[in-house]
Amino acid sequence: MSNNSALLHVQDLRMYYPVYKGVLRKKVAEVKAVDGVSLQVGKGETLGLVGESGSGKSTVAKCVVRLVAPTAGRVLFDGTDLCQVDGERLRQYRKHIQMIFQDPYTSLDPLMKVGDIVVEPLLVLGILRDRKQLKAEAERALELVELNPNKLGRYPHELSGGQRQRVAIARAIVLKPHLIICDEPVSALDVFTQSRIVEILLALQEQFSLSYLFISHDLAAVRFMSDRIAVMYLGGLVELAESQELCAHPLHPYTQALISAVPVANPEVESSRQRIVLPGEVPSPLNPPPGCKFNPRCNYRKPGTCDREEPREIDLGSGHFVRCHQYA
Amino acid sequence: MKDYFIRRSLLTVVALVGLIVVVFLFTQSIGDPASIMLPDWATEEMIQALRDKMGLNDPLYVQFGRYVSGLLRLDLGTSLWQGIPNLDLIMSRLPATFILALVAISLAAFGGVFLGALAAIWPRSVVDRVISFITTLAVTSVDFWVALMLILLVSVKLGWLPTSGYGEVKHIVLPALMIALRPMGRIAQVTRPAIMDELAKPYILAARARGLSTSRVIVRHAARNAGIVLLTLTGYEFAGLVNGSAIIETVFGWPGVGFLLVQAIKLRDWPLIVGTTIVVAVMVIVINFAIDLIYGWLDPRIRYH
Amino acid sequence: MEPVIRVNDLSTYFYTGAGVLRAVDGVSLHVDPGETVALVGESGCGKTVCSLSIMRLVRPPGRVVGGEVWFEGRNLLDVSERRMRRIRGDKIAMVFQEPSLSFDPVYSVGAQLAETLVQHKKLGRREALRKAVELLKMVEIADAERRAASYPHEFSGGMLQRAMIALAISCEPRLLIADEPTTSLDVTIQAQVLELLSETSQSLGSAVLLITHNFGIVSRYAKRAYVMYAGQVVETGPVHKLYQEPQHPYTADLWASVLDLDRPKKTRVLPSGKGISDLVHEDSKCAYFPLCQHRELECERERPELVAVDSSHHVLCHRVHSGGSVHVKQ
Repeated sequence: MSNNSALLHVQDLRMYYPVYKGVLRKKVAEVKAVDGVSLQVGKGETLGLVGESGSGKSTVAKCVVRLVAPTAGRVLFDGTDLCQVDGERLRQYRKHIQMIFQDPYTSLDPLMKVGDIVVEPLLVLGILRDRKQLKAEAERALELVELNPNKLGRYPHELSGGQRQRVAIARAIVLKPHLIICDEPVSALDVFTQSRIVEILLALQEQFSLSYLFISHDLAAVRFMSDRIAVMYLGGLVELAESQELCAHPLHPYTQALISAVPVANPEVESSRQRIVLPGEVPSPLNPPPGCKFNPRCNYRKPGTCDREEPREIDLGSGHFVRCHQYA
Repeated sequence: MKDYFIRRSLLTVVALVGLIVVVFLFTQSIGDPASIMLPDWATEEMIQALRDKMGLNDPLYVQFGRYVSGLLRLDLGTSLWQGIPNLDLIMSRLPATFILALVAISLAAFGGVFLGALAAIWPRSVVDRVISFITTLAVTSVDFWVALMLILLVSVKLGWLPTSGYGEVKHIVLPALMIALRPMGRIAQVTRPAIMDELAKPYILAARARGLSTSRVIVRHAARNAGIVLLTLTGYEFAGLVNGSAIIETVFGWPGVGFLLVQAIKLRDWPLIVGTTIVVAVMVIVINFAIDLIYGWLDPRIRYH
Repeated sequence: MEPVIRVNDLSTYFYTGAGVLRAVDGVSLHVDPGETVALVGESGCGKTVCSLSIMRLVRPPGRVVGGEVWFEGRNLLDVSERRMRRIRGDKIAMVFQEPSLSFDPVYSVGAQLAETLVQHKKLGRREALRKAVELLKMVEIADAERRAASYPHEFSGGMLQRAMIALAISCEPRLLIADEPTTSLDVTIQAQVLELLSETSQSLGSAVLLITHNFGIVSRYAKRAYVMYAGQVVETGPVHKLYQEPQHPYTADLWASVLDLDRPKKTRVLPSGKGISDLVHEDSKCAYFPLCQHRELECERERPELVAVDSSHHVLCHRVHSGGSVHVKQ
């Protein structure tokens, strides 16, 4: 999965969190939240990252925007390793990478007016100071997210969930970033609102040739947004392919189950779909199974292989990668 | 649970050690005990003689060592006023304070939870408003004035209860009521929102959807969960009462620790003042430890973390 | 066939300082024995309040102000609270959205199951606990004896929802109301729980009223659905008809907005500027009027009435006349 022209290139990223226990809070173990993830996002591309809770997808996002410092690995942005830069230089890079969160209510300061929230990044980074220009900038940003400029003087609690998410998007684009990390941006929203937000994100991408890392547990939303999709399970990637290809020909048993678990709205199509119900639950990342991490829930498990050896990444051509012993 | 118990015990020990050090530093910083203890007309020689006798002229670490080793032998010094060991004196007064505190906190907790729960079940009703008025009065009451008025009315005018004394049930009624008043108000004021919060939670709806009766839902589910919050407050109020309510004990002539402390201060009995302070503080720490343990028993989520 | 439950013209209003909120505004529906029916709509459309009204569990400032709920020959809105308590959890049981919040945190899961059994089946405590373990086994919870003694916070979300299903079926109810039963769960766990729900309800012969906003779940598990908007049922019928020939513009808009695996990137037309309008709406016009793309003069003047497109398909829209059909599919 290597291509040097990528805007974002994550190489063998690892994030281990210590676990403390007992009376003296001794460190007894490590949670391998992200354990060797490599992926890249090209210019103007959307990479979808799907996974369930505990898969480590949000931790990847936090590492990319350097909210946390990864244990190991490289996060190359435009060729520079963000894990190696600090202070002022990191601030300069932060300008180019913005983030949108799931719950816009908790990510917006409730005491600030919409207009101030949107242009705050400009002020903080010292890009603009003139009040008039700032106001014009805020109005322009709101227009881009199809929000009436009369909302500038409102507070977050006066807005609906969808409107708040638009404010969050407006704040993200005001710095004209190259890459936006979207962490479950539509999961908390209604059907109509979800599709509006997705449309807005797509329109912005077209206009500014933005790149997205679109993270969600909702395969349908990811499918709609993404050019390529990466599937994560328990800290590692299990499959990566073009969106169309992944949904039409999923190879990893987990991807297959994930797709079958999402019901389709068309009743005729739905009634003829195969249903794979996975047994059990996602194991704790504290105590992952040996070998392939998916093996205890896998219907195609080969004892002796799957529960012993960790599968390697297999390149099946045309950008389709899978980690499963079946294809070795 | 074991981990939790051990961790709480360790924290309690740390608190005790901290307390011992703080009391020592406090006695060092407040001024010269010898000149405080002696009357104003005492001469410099008299003060020096007392300092020597009390060991105040020794180096600080010697004094500290003596103080700690005394504590370890449960020796809190001897009262100048009564001439008997302070510990014995304080321990003889502790039951009186303890009984009064126990009766008062029971009254406060029972009354407070009852009033708060009533207000929570019918929020914004007439009942709620009346209760809110009562609890506000209780919390803002000036206890010694109310106590004196009560004595005037109930004891002097009506002659129903004795004005003061110790030993019989009739003696405890007025002081317990007086001490309970403010904690009761505060407990009621916290109970109301605590139970209202619980009643609005999904598990209450789920419990009602299972066909449980309203009273069972409130008593077995809402109240027990709210109890976890209320326990903290009740515990701290109790710890406060064990200090001995100096004013109320004095007003009613109740032979408790608070009364003792007032007398000790009046008589400038320095060793007794220090000893009482230590015993009372230890009581507070022990009660907090007990509260933590009850917490673990009430709330399974605490037990495991 | 006599339906398990028949709701006629049910209305529940919330009397707030800002005015009267018509959370449920004249809803009629029925569920036949053994049938799974979906009640579908966006958040705030009144579908949850509707289910709570059926159970008589609406809390002030909300109040059921009118209608009938017929169940086993009685109007539940008229029976005594005592009798209603005997029905709740026994004959009509509920599964809630947030399993982790729907169990009392300070009692073990087994104790809460047993509590229900003691209440309705008059079992002794011992026997009830034994039955609780059996029920946990039935919903495929491994190590059920130990699990029964565990507290809710020691369970994962998926396991708790299984336990919640065990609780709901413990008295073999005739009707199961599942309110967004899987919304808070992971995708693969969602599938597990929904399969379990449909299997157990089928084996017990319980009817299911499935409340959801997820259209995929509707088409996978329900044959019939009620589409709710602003407190009203705007369209009802067999799910395949609602999908292929939606009569109400709202139904059509909803289908068009769903982000769906089946629908590849950028291949759809979206209704613009949609969102649920305020529940405080006027009596004199169609509730969807402000957002409707097909609105006519009539829509603003008069509130529509439910008309039959055919015997199984009804719609609340001025554009449809009895027996007629208008395609609004985009």
